[in-house]
Amino acid sequence: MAATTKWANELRHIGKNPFTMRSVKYVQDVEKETLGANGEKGEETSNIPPQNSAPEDETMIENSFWKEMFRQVYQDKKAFLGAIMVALFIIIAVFAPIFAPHDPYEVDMSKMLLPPSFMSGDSADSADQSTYLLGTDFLGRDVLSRIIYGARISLVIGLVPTLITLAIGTLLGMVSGYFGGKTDYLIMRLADICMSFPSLLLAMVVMYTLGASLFNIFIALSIVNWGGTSRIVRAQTLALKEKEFVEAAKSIGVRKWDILWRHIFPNCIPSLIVLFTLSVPEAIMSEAGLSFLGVGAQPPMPSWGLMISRGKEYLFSSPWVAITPGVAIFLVVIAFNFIGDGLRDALDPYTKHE
Amino acid sequence: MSDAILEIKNLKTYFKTRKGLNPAVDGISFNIEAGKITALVGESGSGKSMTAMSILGLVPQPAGKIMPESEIWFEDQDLTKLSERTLAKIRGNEISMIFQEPMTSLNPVYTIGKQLMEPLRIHQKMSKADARALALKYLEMVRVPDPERRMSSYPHQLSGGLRQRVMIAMAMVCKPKVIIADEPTTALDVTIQAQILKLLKDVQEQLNTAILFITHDLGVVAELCDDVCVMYAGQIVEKATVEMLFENPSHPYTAGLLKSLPRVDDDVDMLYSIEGMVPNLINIPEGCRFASRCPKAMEKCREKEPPKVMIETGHEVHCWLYE
Amino acid sequence: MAETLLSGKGLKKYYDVSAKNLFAKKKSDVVKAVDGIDINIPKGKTIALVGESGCGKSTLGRLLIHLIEPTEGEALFEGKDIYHLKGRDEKAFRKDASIIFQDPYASLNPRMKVKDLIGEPLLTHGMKDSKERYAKVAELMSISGLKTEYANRYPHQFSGGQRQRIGIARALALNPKLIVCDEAVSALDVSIQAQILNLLKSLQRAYDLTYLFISHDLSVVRYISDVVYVMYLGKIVEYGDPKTLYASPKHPYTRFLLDAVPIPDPSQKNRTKMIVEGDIPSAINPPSGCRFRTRCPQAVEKCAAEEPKLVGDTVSACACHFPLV
Repeated sequence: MAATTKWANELRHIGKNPFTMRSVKYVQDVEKETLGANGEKGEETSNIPPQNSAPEDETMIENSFWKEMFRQVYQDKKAFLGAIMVALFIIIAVFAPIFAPHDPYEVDMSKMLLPPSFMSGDSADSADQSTYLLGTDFLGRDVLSRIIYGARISLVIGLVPTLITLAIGTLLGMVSGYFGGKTDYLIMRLADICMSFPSLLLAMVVMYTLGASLFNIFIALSIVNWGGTSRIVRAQTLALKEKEFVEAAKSIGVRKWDILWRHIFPNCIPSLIVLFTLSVPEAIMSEAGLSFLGVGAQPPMPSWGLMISRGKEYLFSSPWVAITPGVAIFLVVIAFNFIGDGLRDALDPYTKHE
Repeated sequence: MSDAILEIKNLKTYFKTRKGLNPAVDGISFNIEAGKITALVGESGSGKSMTAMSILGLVPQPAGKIMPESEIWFEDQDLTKLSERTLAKIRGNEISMIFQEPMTSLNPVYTIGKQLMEPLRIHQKMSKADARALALKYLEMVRVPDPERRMSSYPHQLSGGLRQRVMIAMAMVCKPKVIIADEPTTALDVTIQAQILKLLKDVQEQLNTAILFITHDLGVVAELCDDVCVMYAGQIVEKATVEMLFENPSHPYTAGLLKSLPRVDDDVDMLYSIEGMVPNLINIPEGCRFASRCPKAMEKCREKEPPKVMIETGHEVHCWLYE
Repeated sequence: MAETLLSGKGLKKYYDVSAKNLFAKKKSDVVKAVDGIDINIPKGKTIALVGESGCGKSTLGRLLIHLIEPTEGEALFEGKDIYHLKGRDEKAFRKDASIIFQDPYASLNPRMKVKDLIGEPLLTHGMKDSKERYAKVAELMSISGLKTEYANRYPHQFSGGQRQRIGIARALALNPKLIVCDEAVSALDVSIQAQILNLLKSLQRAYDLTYLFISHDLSVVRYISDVVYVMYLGKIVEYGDPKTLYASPKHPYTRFLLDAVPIPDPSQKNRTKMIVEGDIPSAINPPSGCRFRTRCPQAVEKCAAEEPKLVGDTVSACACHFPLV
């Protein structure tokens, strides 16, 4: 049995590549069992000499929660596809200047509304049309480059307000659920108010009063969305605070805020991750909506929503100007949703412990 | 053993898991005789509940599978070879089941009466009036107070003890030849448990049904049952009548288990305790499965599976000690 | 007589469960989970609370270490009323009294490593230095029979018995004087149960611990306890040392309870035993007078009219108008 463990140890050091995660996990399982089987005998003998320092074998079992999550996503084809698409999206957004064939702001009226190069085919009348893979818009700017740069805005819009929303929602939700009483009542009514406005309308009101800018979009989207998060976190907190381990912590004399941080919050993380992946596409959509309505990003910023908005006038003559950014939004949103679905299945205790 | 009504031969139920094949039930054979209560005892994970599920053809799909060499003979039919449709006709009609938690096996949206009458209407094609009369009779038999009113109650309106009585009535109502009771009293308080055990015994004697009683409680076995099979890690380690087993527990596991029970009728200073815990069934080592915890383990025990030894008529032990 | 560590006087815990419906008329429904209990826990002994579900034994256990607020009554721990402790005194009490829960799955935070679970009480009570803390954790683990190599594991990687050992290590962390064991072995298999019971017993001898052992299992209670309190619907009906109590119970309910326990010996199959009829009444608005009268075969009018008092001495007592001889 010792040989098995040794063999497992060797294998584990080889398996650093994230794509061999599965085999690493398997090796750990084997190891766990063999260890368990070894440990059985010694279980009752309580005269194991106490060690002087804490066991430092950190590598034995790492954060199994994250490992398990990655493994589940890796096994779920849909979620894995989503993860690859999101990774591509992030890479493109970060390295936009490398990927973009043209300057997204460069206006050239002589090349106005050129069709995508693959559409015109061999009957191309001008040689340099082929460099505009997705054609040009009404100011002769390269649509592909604008979409690539637009990914940056969508990424920031997708991440920043969502993180703010989650932070506010989690804090208020936990406080509301754990302390209850008047605090709970106050926070939940505030959430009701925010949730009862049509979200786009509320965001528009915020944008009109604060003025249209990227920073204000963050604020607008955060105000609109925190209510839902706090509801979910509150429900989780209510269930968790009845758990025996919370009572156990109380019996030791752990203070309330420590209980929230140490016991409630870590157990909310699975839901928060799912919520995060499902909120990112929502924020991207909201930004597109606001920009389409003219209260979001302002021209000449290459935002996808704005591109659709400006392209809609040429929808019948030159449809690519509006449709291509639409396809981009579609792809990103569906990729995030795929991951979200996969994670929800992976982290759901009912599907996990079959 | 001519009056065996249910014969289980070499039953193997395996589960596919991520970590490998789990032999939850691994080659067990025993008989259930008419008019007797046969106990299947074991700790959690011993495979006793999965044995019951296998008999009823309710092994969770698709992870679980009854291996082809298994045989379960009931009235000249091998239940493992029957189609789902034929099995459904036998289940609930000729073999019925009582579960541990009645609340989960009673449908909360139907009245007790409707649920009692349903099997009669389906399996025996009875008219509504006849079914109702019979259902009432059985509620009286399991001593549910005020049965007329209880017919129109919903499960949540009954106490745990009453619910278990209703479950027994439901299991009895089609006059099955075999009843499988899976830990029917584990969720109940002791005083209620005593009531239910007495009731089961009475009803069984009245109808002469065979009962397979699955439990972890050796006290209940001694009080109620006639024959016992002790299971450990998916296998039967000892099989005997109740008297023989408690008089002369021969497998070291059975003996250890009995010694580790605190007694209500006796004082003990320090309990005997079996070291360690049940091994993981996946990649189980060769030899006897109890060897790693057994105080009498020999070299041989870790190498070869122990033989079946008859130490007296009707008392069978799977252990190298008696070879 | 050993000196008293903790004593409760007139403890009551009521829960208001009235339907606060907008449309229904307000009914006052009160669950009297614990209804006027005096209890005395001597130092270094094991006191058992036994009773069936809903009798209030867990509520009483939680009251006695101030996990919940009493409706009425006081509890003195080494002479101080635990419900009015402030600041440093309260912290000291939390250190002196700990609890082991029934469900080893629910009582350990699944997202914490074993070393942090066992280290949490130490951290809470000021052992900030992680090296010192983990050394103590390793010591606690070996005392409770856990391999120290498992310190970095999560609770779900352990079996039920091992988790209960984690719970025990946690309860021992602060060198408590009193440990409440709330059905601590009920969820475990027989062979594991024996291991844990023996561990608890040897720990008591080694560290001079006092246990309040809450259980529904009379056999386990006989094995572990020095004094047994039998509860029924929020009241103590009888107490005494287990040997005499089990041999000659005075309260009819105790007798029924003992007779109902199955004995693992087929030769005793046909012993005379009394089986009590009926179900346990709801704790909402329980029966008047003696609460057991609705199921008691010898109940008379007096039992309904007048509530029996606990009569006896410090060693044993019984609350029945017509105690069994």
